[in-house]
Amino acid sequence: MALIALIIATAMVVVAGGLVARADWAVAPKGRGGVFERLWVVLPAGFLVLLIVLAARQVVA
Amino acid sequence: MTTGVVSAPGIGQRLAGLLADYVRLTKPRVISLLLLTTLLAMIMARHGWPAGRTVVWTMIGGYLAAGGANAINQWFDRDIDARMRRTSNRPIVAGRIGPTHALIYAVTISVASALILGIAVNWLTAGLAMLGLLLYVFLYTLWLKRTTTQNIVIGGAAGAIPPLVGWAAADGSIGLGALILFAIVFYWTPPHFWALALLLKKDYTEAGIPMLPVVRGVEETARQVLLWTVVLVGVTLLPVAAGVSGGLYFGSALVLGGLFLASAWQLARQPDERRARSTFSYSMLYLALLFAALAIDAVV
Repeated sequence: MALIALIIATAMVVVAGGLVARADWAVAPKGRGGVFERLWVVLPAGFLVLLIVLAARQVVA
Repeated sequence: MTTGVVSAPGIGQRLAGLLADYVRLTKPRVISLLLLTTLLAMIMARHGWPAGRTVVWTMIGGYLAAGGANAINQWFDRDIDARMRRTSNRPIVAGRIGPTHALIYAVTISVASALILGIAVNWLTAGLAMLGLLLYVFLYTLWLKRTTTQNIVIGGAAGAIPPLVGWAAADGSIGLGALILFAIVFYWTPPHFWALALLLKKDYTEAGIPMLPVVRGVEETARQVLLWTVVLVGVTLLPVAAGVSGGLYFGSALVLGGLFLASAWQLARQPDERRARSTFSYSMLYLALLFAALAIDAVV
């Protein structure tokens, strides 16, 4: 059950999270003025990756 | 026989009105959902009902921390609150409470919250509650709210702290389970708030707040509500993957998430006021039921 949950969760998070990040990154200002706007896109995406990795470690363990 | 003279309210009535305004300054309705996530996180952490004394002090301290943050927010935002119909009758804007009095009150209950949680519960809980308050005040209110469409995404971290507070109060530490609860509330915030923002687009436009519907339009916001809901439902399955929750919760998360996805899908297909209201209303019920399922699964 844990593995099934992980596979479904990963698929949903990667597909939808990827689409969100791509759309937000595209409209974020470029150059130094847009550093924070790009950071606000990277942080939630990075947190998702961290969560998936931590959960996957539990499944493997 | 009527005299034609309208009598002024008595001192008792005025005091009751003032007291109600000070309570209103803390936004009790908003806090109730936060406290529910705190309480249910406590039950999860203990795999049962925690000590009554801990629950009482955590609820009081949690209320005061969130209330202090909300009051400081209303103090700082009184200029834009005055320009929005929804907020134009708030106690500071309407002149029923002076700004200085409101700020003193807000700081006082915030400090009281830290002391209550630190002394009666533990200092990790107090520190987390203060972290939530500081994130809400400095990161969201003072910085992000007026500058970026990502305001409620990053600022949502403040509203996601209460489950951490509950977990720390019951367990004295925070582990992967607590982190996942934080993530659930964090990724729930964008679809919840953007559904509301669709309803308040006119207000936000007039106040000059760069909410997503104002800057990127209604269709893109509805699309983002759907995408973030997919992310959220994925994240809600992680307690099962991490071994924190079992089959009862897994089934509940799939059913509740499926209903949220259906509502967000309808909104993305036809982003009108009725569907935005429906998605917003369901999002609150969803979070409460999801956390209830987590707590029940942890107990049985």
